[in-house]
Amino acid sequence: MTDHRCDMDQTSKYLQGKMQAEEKEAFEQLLNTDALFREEFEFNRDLLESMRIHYRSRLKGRLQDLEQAAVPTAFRQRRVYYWVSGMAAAVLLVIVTSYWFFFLRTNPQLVFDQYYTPYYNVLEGTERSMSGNQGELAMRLYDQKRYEDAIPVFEQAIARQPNAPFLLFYKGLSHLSIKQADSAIVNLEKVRSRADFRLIEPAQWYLGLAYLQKGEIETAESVFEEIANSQGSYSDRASDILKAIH
Amino acid sequence: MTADLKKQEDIIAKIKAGDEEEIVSLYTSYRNDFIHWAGFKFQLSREEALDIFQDTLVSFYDSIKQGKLTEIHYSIKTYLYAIAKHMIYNKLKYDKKFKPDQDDFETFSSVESTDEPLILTERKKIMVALLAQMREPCATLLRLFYFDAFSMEAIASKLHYKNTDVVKTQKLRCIKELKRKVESYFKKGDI
Repeated sequence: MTDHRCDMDQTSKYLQGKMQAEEKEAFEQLLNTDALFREEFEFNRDLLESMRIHYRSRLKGRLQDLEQAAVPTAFRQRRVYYWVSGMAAAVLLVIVTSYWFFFLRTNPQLVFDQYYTPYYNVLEGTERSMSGNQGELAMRLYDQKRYEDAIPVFEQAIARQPNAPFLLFYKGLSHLSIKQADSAIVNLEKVRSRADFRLIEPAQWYLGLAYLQKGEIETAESVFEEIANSQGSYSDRASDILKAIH
Repeated sequence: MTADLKKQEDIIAKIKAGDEEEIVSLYTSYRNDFIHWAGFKFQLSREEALDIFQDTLVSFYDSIKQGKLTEIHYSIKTYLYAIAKHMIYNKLKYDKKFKPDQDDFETFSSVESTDEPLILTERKKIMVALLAQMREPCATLLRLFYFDAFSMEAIASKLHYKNTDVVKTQKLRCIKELKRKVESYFKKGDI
């Protein structure tokens, strides 16, 4: 055993094929003869690959978030298109809108149906790895829209990781998907208090929808008002839904 | 050089310089076409198509940052579709739903995949989890150096460090801290 140490930059340079022939030969010689050097190299290599996995996952999460943000934009564009399609259509639209305005006010479930779309699985590699086997299984069931099957598995995962807000978040969403508003509220309220949770904005949005599904209009309004005033990515959507239920 | 080719080279240069907005812009420009194309040609659902297209953009970004992709000789859209075809082919083969015809094989082999699979071992899972817990400035500094492949000078300028020596010292501290956390995790025998 020698005093040679293998550092991160050397490892990175070797893996990227950026070493000169002589340097590479000496490096490989150490890899083949020095067990400690090899052990350090393997550790560094795993750490570099973990960084790549982590940062790729982060970028994919950003693209997935765009899909969530795209829903209200598309909704607004459609509304503008109908408005400019002619006076006759406008009159008809006013009548239809008035009807819906009245009808929706007394039917929060219809507003819910209009605004509710299932949230994608946007967990990052870190969160996936922290959620354990039960968490991973629960998320697979969630992805397959098997919400009733996912809920008990989420419960097992939460029992092991009670401080993982993303498990509570997706358990709440699973309840919401099968119209169990009370349970959805319990889970999403727990997430709401976690200001450091990166999905706090969607968590608040779905909490508002859960209150709407339950028929608690005033509480739902208060949640949506908070979102609308936050200037976050759900603010426009919250303003739209407030108009629909006011 | 045509205007289109120049524009493409500009996009690749911006991505190389760490501009994620170019990736977002490419994604939003082509996503609708891609959903229709993937649905029509491979019967993928909207969700499946989006998942593949997101992975395609991530792979494209990573290849540029790693220096594996420095120029392309056709449009970026064509290149993205070729990467996506590889991914769709692998997915459908895995799902046992698709047998590619000869034309498809030829198209697949016309673009070399630059994206080798990343295998998530137990040790790497823990490392990924600890990376996510890293605080600033280490989180940004390590990303800029090891993922975005920025030079020490570029990092000093971007993060407002006095000079490259300060960056090097800070980077060593961050690596040391990260390694200490990983080693300490394994010593506890938590996995």
